[in-house]
Amino acid sequence: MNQKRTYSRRLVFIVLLVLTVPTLLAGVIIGPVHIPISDTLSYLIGRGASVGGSPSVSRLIISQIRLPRVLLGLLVGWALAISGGTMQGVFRNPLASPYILGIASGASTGAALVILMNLHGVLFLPLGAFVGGSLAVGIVYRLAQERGKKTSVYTLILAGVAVGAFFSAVTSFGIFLSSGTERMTDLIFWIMGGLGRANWTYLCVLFPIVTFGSLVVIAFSRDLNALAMGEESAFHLGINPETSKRVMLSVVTLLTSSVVAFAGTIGFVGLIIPHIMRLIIGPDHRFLLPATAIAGAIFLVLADIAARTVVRPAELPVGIITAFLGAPFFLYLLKTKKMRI
Amino acid sequence: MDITINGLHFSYDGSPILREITLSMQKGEVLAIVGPNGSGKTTLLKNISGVLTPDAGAVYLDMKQITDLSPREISRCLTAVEQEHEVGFDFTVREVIAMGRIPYQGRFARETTKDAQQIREAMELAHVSSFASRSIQELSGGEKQRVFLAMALAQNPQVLLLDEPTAYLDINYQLQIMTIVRQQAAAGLTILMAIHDLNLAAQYADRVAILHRGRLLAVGRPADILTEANIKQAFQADVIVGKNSVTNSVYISTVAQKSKALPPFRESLGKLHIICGGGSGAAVLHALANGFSLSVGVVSPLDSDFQLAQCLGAKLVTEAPFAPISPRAYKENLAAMRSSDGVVICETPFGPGNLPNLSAALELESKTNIYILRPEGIEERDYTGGEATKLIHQLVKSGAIVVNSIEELSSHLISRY
Repeated sequence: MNQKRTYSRRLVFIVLLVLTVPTLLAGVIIGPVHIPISDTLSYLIGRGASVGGSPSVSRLIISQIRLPRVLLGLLVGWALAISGGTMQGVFRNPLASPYILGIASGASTGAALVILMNLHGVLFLPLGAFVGGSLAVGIVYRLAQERGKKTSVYTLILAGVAVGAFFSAVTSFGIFLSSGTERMTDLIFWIMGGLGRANWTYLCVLFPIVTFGSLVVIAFSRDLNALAMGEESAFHLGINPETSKRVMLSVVTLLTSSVVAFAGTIGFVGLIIPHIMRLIIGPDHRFLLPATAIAGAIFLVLADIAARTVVRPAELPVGIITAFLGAPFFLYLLKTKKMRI
Repeated sequence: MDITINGLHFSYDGSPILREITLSMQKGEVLAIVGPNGSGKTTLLKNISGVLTPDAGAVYLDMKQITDLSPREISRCLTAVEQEHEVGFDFTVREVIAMGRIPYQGRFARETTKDAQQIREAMELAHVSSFASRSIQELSGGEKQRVFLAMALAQNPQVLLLDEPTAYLDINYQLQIMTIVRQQAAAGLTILMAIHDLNLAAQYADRVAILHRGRLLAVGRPADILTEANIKQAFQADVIVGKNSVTNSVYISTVAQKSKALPPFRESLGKLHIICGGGSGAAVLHALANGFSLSVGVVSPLDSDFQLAQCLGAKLVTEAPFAPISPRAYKENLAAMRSSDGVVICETPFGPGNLPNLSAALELESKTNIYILRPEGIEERDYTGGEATKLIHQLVKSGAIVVNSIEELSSHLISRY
């Protein structure tokens, strides 16, 4: 076995896991209201908060605002990055992202409709998003299928662009109709994306979905490796390419739609994180996907810290930060690396 | 493992690609499918491997119909190496070959010692160990081809399908791959390969199947099947089929179709017949081609002088490679000399095979039209035990003109004609 590679793989995972702890702490500590580190630590460890001037306020900020927000950041970053890594594997293309098949537009439309119809209840939002996302992917996949034969990647991507544009138009129309009302703010949220609405209920819904989706995708990571050799080679290795692709597209649709439901559309995490991790850890999806997930979680929490602090006391949508960091990096990759589409 | 293909039909978008293919192979056999481009070779392989499903008919591995097996079950007994490989990401060579073990591994399994052993053996067989840690995307076409062969071997299959396994390989690796094919067949693998090189098929396959417009034209031993008539029918090409005395297999050489593209000589000073071979005629042919109409003989299509003469548009008297000059070729050659205004004998090495070219010259009535280039060196080029030397001396004695350089030869000829 290639000893050097295994060693560095282990090292990458250790570094990533070690980085997670300070990232989490920083996410809870940093914010517009100053809370002493000692308070934060004692809350997190579970000791009664009796230090400081107004412990109850500090506790409330930590437990109801900052901690849920950081955990949502972890889950969203994790889900987007692992979805992006999976899509890049399915399409054998480093330019693919979780949004490539119009999932995000479809999910946003679904979530927007839920809001416009005044449906309350925490499960409606992800459900609406999932229905919208699945609808978009279903239409795209149907369009790209050539009379029961293999699915062409080019047609998939083009159909994804078209269907995505259509759903975006529907969402924009919804915003137009609701202009001047409270709902408009809610709807614009999906265009911008952000972690500001985090609460424990969201986390309870999102956590099992992300766990389930990640396990399935990691279980299929071997299939992604084989698919990278070409669909026929994958078949000769005992893998049914069409089945694998469908399973993975469904799971990515589930993950991405749920994330969109609670955090809107946050760009570039799912595009650049898998890309960077592939450069660091290599293309073997059995290691790449978990590493990408952890890195995505860390990256989004850090980006959210920046979003909260750059224009303090106001707050930037986190998508601005990710795009601000991601777009130049992406252009750099485009310029220096030979990228085939 | 035996393969049986029974009445296989396949069509794509309504147009039939394969028709009535019935073929069977035994364990340890190497069968080569040959046929012109677009005859359906690749499609046939894909139908056999289960990538494509036939419209009618069936493929059996031993007694099991392949459509009843899952991809994983198929992958444990049959694998295929495609012609083109587009790898999505920069996996290392070893990582790619290790994927050959996927059919035997669970979803979360790690590589076992047995896996590692198989991978190592496959890498050694395909001569890829030396670049095991390089990226697959950096490799040349030929190196990639060997990596994918190694991946297939690591899979430990009983049936191996190869689509143009030598397509990107230089001659050294072509032979290496064919040697691996024979070794694996001897070890019990059943190997079916689509190959466009008829000579490799003739030399390394137990049986050859000629595919022509989706039908099997003929199946059988190379010597029985690779005939001039069959090849003409399938490929619309004129060939000479001879026997390679070194490998004892049939040897197919192309004969140029009359080229209409070559311009005629501007103005012919006269007709010359050149006796050459083994490259000895190159300088002479080049010097004389732009003034004389040339004929060359007797040369074999494997000879470099043959190819040059062909390019220059010379008339050729040919014989199959490695074969002695037949009475037919001898007569044709003599006739070409008689109808020429002059005959040039180049500094050609003479052996028993081409000695009749000198005997023919000696039969000519007027020896003063024969030009011999530097006859004094004949003893070093004589591999007939003095026979060729004797003939050259006879020719000189009976009036043939001795020239010491090509310049001297051309000035002689130009002043004369």
